[in-house]
Order: sequence, then C-alpha cells, then structure tokens
Amino acid sequence: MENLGIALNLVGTFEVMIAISIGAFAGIVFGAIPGLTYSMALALMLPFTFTMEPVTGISLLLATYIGGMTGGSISAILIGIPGTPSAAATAADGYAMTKRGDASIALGTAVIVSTIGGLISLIIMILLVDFISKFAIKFGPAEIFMLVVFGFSTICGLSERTLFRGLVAGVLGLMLMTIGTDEIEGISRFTFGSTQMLQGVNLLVAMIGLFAVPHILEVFNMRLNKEDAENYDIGTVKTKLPSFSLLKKYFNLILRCVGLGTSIGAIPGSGGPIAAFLAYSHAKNSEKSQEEKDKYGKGSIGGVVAPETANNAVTGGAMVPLLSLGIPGDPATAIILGGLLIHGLSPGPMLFIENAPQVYSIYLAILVAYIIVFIFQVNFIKHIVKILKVKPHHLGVGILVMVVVGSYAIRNSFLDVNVMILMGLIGYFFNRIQLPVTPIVLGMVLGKTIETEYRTAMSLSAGDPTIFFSSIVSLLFFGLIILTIFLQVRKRVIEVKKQKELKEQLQT
Amino acid sequence: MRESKFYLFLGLGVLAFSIIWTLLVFLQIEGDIGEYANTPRTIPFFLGVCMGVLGLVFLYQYRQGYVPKNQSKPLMANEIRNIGICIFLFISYSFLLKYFGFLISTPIVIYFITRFLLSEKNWKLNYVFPIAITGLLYFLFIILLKSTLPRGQIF
Repeated sequence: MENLGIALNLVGTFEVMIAISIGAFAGIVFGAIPGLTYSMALALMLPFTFTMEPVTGISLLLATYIGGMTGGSISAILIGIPGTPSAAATAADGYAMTKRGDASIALGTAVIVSTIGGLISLIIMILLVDFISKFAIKFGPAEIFMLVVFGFSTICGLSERTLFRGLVAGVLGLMLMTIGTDEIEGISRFTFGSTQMLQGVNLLVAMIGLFAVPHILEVFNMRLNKEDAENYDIGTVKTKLPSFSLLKKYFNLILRCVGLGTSIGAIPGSGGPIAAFLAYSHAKNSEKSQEEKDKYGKGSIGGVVAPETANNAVTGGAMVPLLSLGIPGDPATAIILGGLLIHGLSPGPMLFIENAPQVYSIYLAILVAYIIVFIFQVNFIKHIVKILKVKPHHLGVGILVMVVVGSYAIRNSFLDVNVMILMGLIGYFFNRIQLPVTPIVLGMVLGKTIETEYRTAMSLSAGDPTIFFSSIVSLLFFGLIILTIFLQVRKRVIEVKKQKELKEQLQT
Repeated sequence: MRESKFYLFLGLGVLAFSIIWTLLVFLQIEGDIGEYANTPRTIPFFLGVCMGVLGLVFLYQYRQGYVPKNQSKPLMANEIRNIGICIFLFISYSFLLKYFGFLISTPIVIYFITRFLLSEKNWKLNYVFPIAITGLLYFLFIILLKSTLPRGQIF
C-alpha cells in the first residue's frame, strides 16, 4: 500500500499527464494512418524519453502503445484499411457498418470495448505478474538461460512467417549484440580496431532504423516512381457510444475475448493480429443462430467487439513476460523494454524488489492512458481523422529528420546515425524478401542475457554443460524448446507434402 | 521444373554470410585455440554455425523444389536507384549536421527534399514546412527536454 502511495505521487504530476496525453495522441495518429505503425511511433518517441524522469518517459511510451493499439480501428472502420495489423480483423465488419451509415456507432463500440478489454487485462496482468515473478526469482543462471532460449524460439517460430526465416532474423539479432566489448572478459569483438565500435550496436538506434526507416524508403520510392499513394478525405465523423443494453448483450463475449487476448499476448512472438483474428472467428462460431452467423462480414457489431477487445487485451498480456521475466514478446514491448533500460530499470523478478514504486506507477500509467485515449477518441475523433488527409511523403520528410536527429541524440554520436541508416537498409530488404524484422530486435534484446547467463552457468559448473539439464525447471524449458521446434518443422513438412501433391495433381 | 530461385539465393546468401562471420570470429576476437566451451568466442561461433545450418536448410528446400507461398516482387532498377537516392539523402543530412549543425542544415535539407525530390511547388510546403519542423524539433529537444542536437563544428 505504501508503494501505491509513492506511485500515485509519481504519476499524479502535471508532467506525467502531459506525457501521457502526447503519447496517447501520437499513438492514435500513428495507429490510424495505414502504413505507420505504433512500433514506429514508439521508436520515434524513444529519443525524447532520454532526458525525462523515468516515470514520465515510461508513461509516454505506454500511452503511445495503448493509443496505437486503439487507434488502428479508426481507419479499419472508416476506410476499410487497418491502420495497424492488429486491426485487420475489425476491417470487415467495421467497414461494412460504415457503408451502412453506422460509422459513429462502430467507432464508439470499438473505443469502449477497447477500453474495457484493456482495463480487465490490466487487472489480470497485475495478478499474473506478481505470481510469476515470485516464482521466477528462484531461477539460477541455467534456468534463465533455458527460459530465454525458449522465449526466443517461440518468437522466431510464431513471428509472421516460417520458423527458418524467423531464425535467420533472430540469429542476426543475436550476432549484432555480440559486437563491441565482451562484458565478462572485456575483450573487444568485431570492432575492426575502431574505438567507437567498442560500445557496440545500440539497441535503441537499431530499433529506430528497423521500424522507421523502411517506411520512409517505401514512401519515397513510390513517390519517385510517380505512383502517388492515396490519401483519404473522410469528412466529418463523430463517435457515438453504444447503448448499455448492447454492451450487456455482448458482455460474455467481451470477457471471453479478454481472456483470449491476454493469454495470446502473454506468449512471446504472438500478438495483436493473431489474437484479433482468433477472437473474430470465436465470436462468429459462438453465435447460436445461423442467421446471426451470416451477418459476420456484413456489418455485425460482434465482428467489431471481439477483435477490438482482444487486441487491446493483448497489451496487458504482452506486459506479463516483459515485467515478470524480462522477455518482450513483440516489437512494442521490446521498445518499452528499451525505454525501461535507459532509466536503469531492468525488467525481471528483481524489478519488484528494487523498484516496487516504479512498477506500481507503470500500472497506474496504463490505467490513466486508457482513460485519456478513451476521452480523445470520443471527443476529438473529428480532428484526428483530418490527419488521414496528410500525404504520406510529407509525413515521411518529418520522420526522416526525426530519425536522424533522434538517433544522434541518444549518445551524441554520428556513428549511431550511420548504424541507424544501415539497420534501415537491412529492414527494408528484409521486408522486400519477406523475412520478418521483429526477431532481429528481440534477438538484440535477449542476446546479452543469453550470453551472460550461459557464461555464468558454465563458470559455476566449471565448464560442465550438464548444468543446463540438472534441474526440473530447466529440463521443462528444454522440453518446451524441442516441442516448439518440432511442431514448426512438422507443420512445414505437411505444407511441403501438400504442395507436392497439388503439383502432381496438376501434372496428371 | 523449378519456378522460383528464391530459396537458392536466400540459402547462398545466408551461407556466405555465415562463413564470413565465422572467419571474423577468429580474426576479430582474441582467444586461445583449444578452449571452446566458455570464451568470448563461444556464442559468436555458435551463432555462425547456426546461420550456416539455416543456409543449408534453405538450399535443401530449393532442392526439394519448394516454392514460397507469396512471391516477393523482383527488385527493379529504378527501385534500387530510388533507395540509393534516399540513402544518399540520409548520409548527406548526417554529414551536414556534423559540420553545420541542426539549425542550419535541417531547413536546407527539407527544402531540398520537398522542392526537388518530391517536386512540390506549393510555397507553404517549400518555405513554411522546413522552418516549422526545424522550430518544432528545436523546441522539443532543446527547450522542453534539455537534450542535445548537433551543433556543428564550423560555427
């Protein structure tokens, strides 16, 4: 209770409220504009949090994340194009409602279920984080090593495409993290004799490059090819909150979708889009009458309620492994982790012992962020949609300046600017050949832990590798790693077989 | 018949990268030969091997005639040119910042981009936009957050 009091004082300042409002606004805008994602908004926000007070900086990031998750529904509903991948499942029914003339009620429903979903998942998250961190504090280096490798394997396996492509990106991320001074023996690695390289690749700089630069390149490339991107003129819209009886009708569905979203969010590597689509098909299948089922895809309000609840419930779920174990599951939580590390807060079980007030202020900041996002979306939607009119390449110019200046400001280093550009190029070409980018970042985040824990465990056992299999917990994680890889490979083999059969059928 | 050489190129690329990386492990990290399990080289070397295995997996998939589900567009000459222009922009902006500082180089670069690269002929975009962005970022970084921006070496 004492901690809660300190946290209230930390969050209840004017500065924090302004930070949350700015974050919420930026998140909604970036979430709403198709092509810009909230990961990008978060990456652009990072340099600003540098000189802020820890709680102010973290609140800014959290509000951006929450605003972005909620804002994606605006363009999904109004123009049928999801502003973020997480809102893709909302587009079908939301846009159908707009065409029918029910845009304001669709927007209102999306906002309110997002808020309800987010807040319930916040409560689940607080309970889960407490439980898991109490359990995880007993882990030794061998267990942590196995746990992180397990998190890493699900991230590579689940992220968008196949396990192997995910692994290429993940291993590349781990490799990038080994550049610089080795933390244990102080030996320089891959520095090519340059003293600047001793600091290694900065995580924040890499994130800015990977998430923001590819978009700039894409937009400028389109403009130079004279393919003008569309901009959307929507006119005036307003948000109309749904009636209480409607919410009551869907209350059970909302609860189930919160459960689904939170648990999907808690698995590293999955996230918003997967949860939203699962919730959508769950809502459709749980309708009793065939008549109701047929309405899905044609403007059923349940088709907006389910995915919007689930994708916001993901925010709570995704914070669970981040706060309790220090494992981020998606780009957004990875960037928030970066923000925590700037201020010397390293997530994991120890955080609750060393920085309990900060943990409580994170919870409070999420609560306040949801309230502010809700107010913005209900009252200022008219102004927010105006931003959809801005041409993407004009925004691109602004983002270009921000990424260069931002990556410089992190360590006052021009080498970082060049690293950022290089990471941007890697990100762009990875997108082009359809390799996922997310595992690079997560590899970089987890790389240090993997190496440090491995080396510590090996030192403890005097070079005997059986230490990794000597406790039940680490054996359990090892089993889970093997299972993850096995399931992915099996899925792949079945796919290949199917494709071959198809080909043979075509030939005969 | 093989419709797609995607996995061949991906496999070869990954394999080549892993070989270079593994060589660098021995050239760029000091260490004794003979001790493997717990040195600064261990993890980087292991990662290099992993990358190599992944390259072989892709080559195997190519041999099996596996075609990626959704094919990516091939790289066009003008795309490479455009990306080149963008990278040049980034690098020259960073170069200008280094010598002339934020307040001078930012408006110039933005003006150049909007006027010549994006060929906008609207005076608001050409003159107000560069100054507005520069002013906004200066306000945010220097006045509000007391952070740093490049000052330039010449002035």
